[in-house]
Amino acid sequence: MPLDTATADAQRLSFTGEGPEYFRIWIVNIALSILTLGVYSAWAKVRRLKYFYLNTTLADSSFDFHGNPMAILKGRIIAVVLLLAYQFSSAASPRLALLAMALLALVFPWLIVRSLRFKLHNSSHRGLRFSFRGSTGQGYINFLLFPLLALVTLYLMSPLAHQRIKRFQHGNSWYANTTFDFSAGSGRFFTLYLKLLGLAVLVIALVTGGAALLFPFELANPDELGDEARAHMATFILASLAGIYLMLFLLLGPWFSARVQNLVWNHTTLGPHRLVSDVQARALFWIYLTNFLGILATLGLFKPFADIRLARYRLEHIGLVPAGSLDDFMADQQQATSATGEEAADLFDFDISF
Amino acid sequence: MHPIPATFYDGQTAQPQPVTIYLHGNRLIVDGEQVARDEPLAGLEISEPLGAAPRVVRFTDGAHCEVREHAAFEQLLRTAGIEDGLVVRLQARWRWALAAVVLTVAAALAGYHWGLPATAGWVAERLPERLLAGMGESTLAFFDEHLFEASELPATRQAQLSTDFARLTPPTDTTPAQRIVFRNGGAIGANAFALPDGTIVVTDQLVALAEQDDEILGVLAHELGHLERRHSLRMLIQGSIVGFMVSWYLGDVSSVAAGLPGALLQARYSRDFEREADDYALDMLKANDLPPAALADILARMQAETDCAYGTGSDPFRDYLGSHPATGERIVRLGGVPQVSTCTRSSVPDTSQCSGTDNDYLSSFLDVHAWHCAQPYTDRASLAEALKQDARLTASMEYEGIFEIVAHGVSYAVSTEDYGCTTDVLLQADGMAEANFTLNEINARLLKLGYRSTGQDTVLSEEGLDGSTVQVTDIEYLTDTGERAVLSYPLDKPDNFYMTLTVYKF
Repeated sequence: MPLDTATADAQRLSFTGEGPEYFRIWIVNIALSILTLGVYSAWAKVRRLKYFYLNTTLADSSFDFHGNPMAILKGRIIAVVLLLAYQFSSAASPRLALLAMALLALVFPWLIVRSLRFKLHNSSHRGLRFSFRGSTGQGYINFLLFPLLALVTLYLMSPLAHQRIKRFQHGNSWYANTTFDFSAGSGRFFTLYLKLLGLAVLVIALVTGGAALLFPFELANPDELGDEARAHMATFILASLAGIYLMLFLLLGPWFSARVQNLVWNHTTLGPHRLVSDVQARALFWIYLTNFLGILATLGLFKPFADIRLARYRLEHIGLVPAGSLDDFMADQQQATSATGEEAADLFDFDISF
Repeated sequence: MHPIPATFYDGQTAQPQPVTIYLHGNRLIVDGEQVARDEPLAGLEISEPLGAAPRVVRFTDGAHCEVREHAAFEQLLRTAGIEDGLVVRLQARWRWALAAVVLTVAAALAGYHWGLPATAGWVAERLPERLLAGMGESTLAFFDEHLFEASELPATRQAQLSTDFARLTPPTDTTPAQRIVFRNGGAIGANAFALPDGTIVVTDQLVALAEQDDEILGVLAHELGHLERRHSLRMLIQGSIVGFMVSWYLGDVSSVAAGLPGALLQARYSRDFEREADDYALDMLKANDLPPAALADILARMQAETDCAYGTGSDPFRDYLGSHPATGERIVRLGGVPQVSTCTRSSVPDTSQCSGTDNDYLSSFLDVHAWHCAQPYTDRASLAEALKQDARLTASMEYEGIFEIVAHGVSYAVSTEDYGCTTDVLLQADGMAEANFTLNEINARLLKLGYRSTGQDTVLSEEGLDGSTVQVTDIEYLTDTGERAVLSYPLDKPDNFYMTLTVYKF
């Protein structure tokens, strides 16, 4: 639901991070991490998160991050060991890789639940902490059982798995003494995935059609073709694959990402208050494209600028429609948690947003 | 000092309370409608400056203040004698950011050049042997399914080669577990390779290519060298680390694109591995009184076969990325003679023209070389005088003491040195697509002229014409008249470095 029309009274998140400023923090973080053989990276991560949290404001108050670098360091060591072991075993032999995969799948849900707990317990707004109260058992159902179901149904059930994960994440999150609720049913996810599939088919058809026009070739068994005709066919196949990959990654990636963010946040409530998101695929596409080119052209030095741009756009298109005063939240008892799961998940690049 | 406006949160409710804060001695006073606090500075936790973000002053009981008046608050901190931490000061200045960029880039390059191979070597040597069992099974299975056929060698011949090799003494105390298997290589042709678990695969074509069994033993020794140094394992570990770093770094950009640079970054290492395995094979051959040239001989024959199949040009991709690049260089190192490929050179590899026409550029270069540098001179002055008198050569407008002649659009130059005479040419002149002749070609021609390689060969980094680094191999010969000669051939960037042939005379 667009912020501007339906909810003129929505309180938007605002983001005050700046590229050049964050670049200095980022590069000094990297240099110090190198000098300390990676140990500093845990402190670097806290600095980074503090930069993003404290520069994000809702209703005149900033968010804050309280993670303990030592806890992150511990998690980071576990994550590096897990990832290297997986990388190595997958390169070494398929059997070993399968075993490693199975083991990882078994600990993953536990790690993810820990990670969600760590992340939310260490986030605050107006001095009150967020928390995640989903159980580990539920974590196994949502992060293992449903993805397995998607797998055995040849991904037909992916939308359902996706919906369950989001419902688990958002429905078990709390701010102070108030719980978040998640109301998007699986039907909406199925519709979204169906559209994605349609667009993907369209993109593939357009790209292969375009490539066939640009690089005409003879359709026949390659063994029966001359060298030249075979080269034409190879050019066509390479051009199509590159085109499809780029198009899917650059066009459908941002489109899907925008739709998911909107779907998820527009169906999330915090007590009586409603959350809204109006991210546009077109704007996101432009940011992705320019970020990608920028990072490519600067051999990575543009990365901090890219991070800021993306964060600004995503954050500033989320808002909260208050149903009453935001001052009435009360503190709840707080729990300590370890960062172990959080870190492992960070490296494996799971989408644990906010 | 003026009181600074701030927002106070008590940590129990979400209620923001406007307050003012100010210093009173070494205490901070918070003053608002429903707030009155007087806290010792020492007990406060003050957040670092993060651009436009508010500074957070946290109290011991979980309450905090958000301060957005940055200038005034910094003034307050200075008054209180509270200084920014070291990291904050580093982050504040562009010059430190620049230093961090330099350090990061240097560390990345150093890590790639030294750290990565060293780490992989360290790990590879420490992995227990039983862990390696079965590694490579899938590779062999893949090749068996797609490329190889069962060997057509008689079982007795296979057994004889295996036993012969098993009888050799390895040059090191320990021998890695090994198992030799034979396959019909199909499209792969004459080749051999080692898998991490100790399997050495030899193709029938290689056995057929060998003129003596010593050559096969040489190749097996080379593969044993790979196993002994655990090269494939090191490659694997390096690949894992590179993949890990790249995907960590590029993770958000694209996970698929992340795999690509990893593969490219790997290829460079294989050259070093080939050299190590060659040295091992050489030691092994010597230790068993076998002719050291056996490996060089079969390599030369393998190279000739490949050249005719793919053309001889110095395709920059093949040279930089190929796992067995610069075969000529390896053969020379092993004390052998690179095979002269009889294929003509053309920009497009053409297998139909495998006949023997000469390379005009190379012939011209050797002609110019013969005019003076191959002649007897006893001192620099007489050589300089002869160059001046030579009507075929014109004095260079740009350089004193250099005389040149242009043929087929290429300039060949002769110059005097303190120690002798140098002939040089830019291998890839302006507007040309590639080097005019390869290292193998000139090496072969020099050997035909009666030059002998002394085995003193080095690869150096030299400064190219544009100031960038060029890899140059220096090969030392004794000429037919017994003079010392050095050929400096650029292994890369033939358009950026004058290839020289210097004869030491004085």
